[in-house]
Amino acid sequence: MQPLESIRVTDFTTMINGPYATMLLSDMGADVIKIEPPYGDSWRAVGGGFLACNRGKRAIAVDLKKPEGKQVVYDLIATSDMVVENARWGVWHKLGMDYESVIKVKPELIYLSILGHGSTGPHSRSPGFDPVLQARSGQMVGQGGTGKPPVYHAIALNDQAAPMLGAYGAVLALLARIRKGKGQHIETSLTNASIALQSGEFMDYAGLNRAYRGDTDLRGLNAIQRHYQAADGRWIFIFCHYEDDWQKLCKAVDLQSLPTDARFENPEKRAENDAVLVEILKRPFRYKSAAEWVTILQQGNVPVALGQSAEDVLKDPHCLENDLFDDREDPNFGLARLIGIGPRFSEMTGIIRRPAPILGQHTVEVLREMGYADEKIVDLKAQKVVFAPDEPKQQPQSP
Amino acid sequence: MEQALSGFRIVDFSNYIAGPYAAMLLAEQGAEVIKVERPTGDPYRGKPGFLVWNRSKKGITLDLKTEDGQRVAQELAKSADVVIESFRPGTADRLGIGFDTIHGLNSRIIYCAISAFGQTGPYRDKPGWDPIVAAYAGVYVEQGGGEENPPLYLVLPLPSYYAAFMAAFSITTALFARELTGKGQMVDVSLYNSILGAESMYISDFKDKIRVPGAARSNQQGLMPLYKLYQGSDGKWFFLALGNPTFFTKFALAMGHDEWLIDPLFEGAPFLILPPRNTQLIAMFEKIFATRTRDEWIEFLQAEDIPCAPAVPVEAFFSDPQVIANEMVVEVEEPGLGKVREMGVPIRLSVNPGRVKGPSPGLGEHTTHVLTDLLGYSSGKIAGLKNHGII
Repeated sequence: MQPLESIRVTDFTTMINGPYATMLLSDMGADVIKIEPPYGDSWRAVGGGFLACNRGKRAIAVDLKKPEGKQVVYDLIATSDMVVENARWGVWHKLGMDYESVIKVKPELIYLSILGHGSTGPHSRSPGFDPVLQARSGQMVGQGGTGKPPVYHAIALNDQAAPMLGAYGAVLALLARIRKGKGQHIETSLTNASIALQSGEFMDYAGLNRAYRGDTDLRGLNAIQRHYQAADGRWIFIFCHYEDDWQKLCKAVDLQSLPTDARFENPEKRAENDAVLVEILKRPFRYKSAAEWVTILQQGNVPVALGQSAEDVLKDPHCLENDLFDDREDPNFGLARLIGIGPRFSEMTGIIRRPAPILGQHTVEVLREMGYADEKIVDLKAQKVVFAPDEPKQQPQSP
Repeated sequence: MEQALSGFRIVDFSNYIAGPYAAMLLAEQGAEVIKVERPTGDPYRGKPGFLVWNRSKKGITLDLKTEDGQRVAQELAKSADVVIESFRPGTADRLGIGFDTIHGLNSRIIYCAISAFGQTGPYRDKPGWDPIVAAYAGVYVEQGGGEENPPLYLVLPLPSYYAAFMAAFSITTALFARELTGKGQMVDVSLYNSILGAESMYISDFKDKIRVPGAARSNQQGLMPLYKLYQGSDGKWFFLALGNPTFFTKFALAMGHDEWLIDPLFEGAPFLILPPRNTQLIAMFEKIFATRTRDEWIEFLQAEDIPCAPAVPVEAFFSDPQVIANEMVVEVEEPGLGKVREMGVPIRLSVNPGRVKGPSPGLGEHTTHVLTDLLGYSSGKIAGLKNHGII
């Protein structure tokens, strides 16, 4: 079974942080119907970005500025358990799709808002993009370090955290509803996510020694928790946490006099002479390939990782053996490999029902399911209330 | 039912970051969480983050290397709805608290194993440190700018944080499924799968894939001219975030350069301005932004509804009025430390709101209370366990 197979989600979200949340729900079996305006989610322009957070869903295109379009969506909401949105606060109020308006259609509805900033507060109506919160929350300065330029994180880290928190909140509300029978409004934001992603750093108390460990040119935290370049130009990362790990490292790289060297005999001494130790350790790594070093250090029980690129991950033997990738024919991009479903369950499975939909691909199908007569659908299309591709491409569907 | 998870009991055997953080998120939505520590304590005791990742819980100590300790742990798990553990795969079995044992005693148990690389596959036995996972997941190489440039180490333990969120989501999903089926199950959440999920935009492969130059490559301030860190005349930094074509339009008009909208240099705006046009435009904007101070630019751009923000240290975020409006700063009285300001509850449920229930427990603070109240142990039995160093 899929845990959320009986749940239908009306999905107003665009870009990353909303669609990723509804994708997590879809992966757990929910029937997610993405509502797009006639011109589509602007994130469609960034192909890989759109694919990465919209698979499994069905898509309908509706003009919500027309009263007939609103009615179509209200009719859909009446059949739904949940609405998810991530617009600027206030946008859905203008369109009559805010929480208070839609619960008139479906009182036990669960309504999830993944906001940039929040539903109240001075920034609630400002546009919210991931790096705005990377900058305001201290993430960029924390990574850049004192007196150095801030660092822009390549991963849209808050855009990825907010939907995970939002999906958690959505299922909490489903659980509360099944136990007690009430729907509710759930809210999270990039602001909250940026703090949740610094939960160990967003701290303040008398006597706290706030250490900025970042740097714009940072290979690691110290000589034994750091990247080193191997003979083939590739990088390995070693992470010696215990004194024992350090001893094992010295043995594995055949620098057995180092642990008794007065400059490095304890953590304090090593911290004092860190730069010297880095230069000493760089040498042995230059003589073998990264893969060879990973094998040698693993055999010596030294915590080590191969510094992989995105391309490496796509061929990673661990991911392949665990069947983590989803390979699927996409209507626009051909065969596409994406990250599949992360969590694994013993009594149930996730499901990816279909590739990311093209704009309006399921408009007719969903309207028919809602009980609309074919003449009415043709009429709505003619009046440009709903939109469907004229000749929908035939797509392979997964079972 | 005051909160979504009121009435659910969680026995939390986890250490370090991901497991404790997940259990805390569940505790603050109503679950009763009993943190079980080895007699020497969670190795992350003493780190500031420990206070946050373990608040709102009860704490007991138990020596799981003894049979008597394992028996107590099993009795606790028998009374629970959820077990969380974060040992290396295989260790929980040796400690008598593996899934098969616990499920045999309690078929309704949701058993969440949080590990670095998951319970199966060739990396399962690798040491579970967060940066080891991040390195394998491509985080550092991609931040550094791909294979041609040195990797950049990131200071935030992102794999652990994402795993905590995915564990909270997965456990709640399994609890929801249990309402329908009555069955418990094992949930396998890994740091690796969680961070890879968060990188899904980068880690994909299809024909004609365009590698957007958003990652650092030769610098760490971004290489998309309309989505990048810039400096004002005072040397202070801010991020310009023209996240969709509408904001590019607003920006061009506000800057008095309507012609940008039809200039082929900007083709693909905002995200797909490809090299070498991106560097040409960056050079142009660097000159433009060097004409006023950072705060002047922020004021000007925000008045025009253009997304941007100053890059400031985390301390400044405590007094940010939006953060306060979101109730994301809470003050927790920590014994021995006094008032600690830290994160609030990151999701708000309108009917069943979560809340911070209290500080992190001292080592073994609730041992006697939990064994007496929950398991009905006599004071003599508890004294015996104490004498043998089991609790």
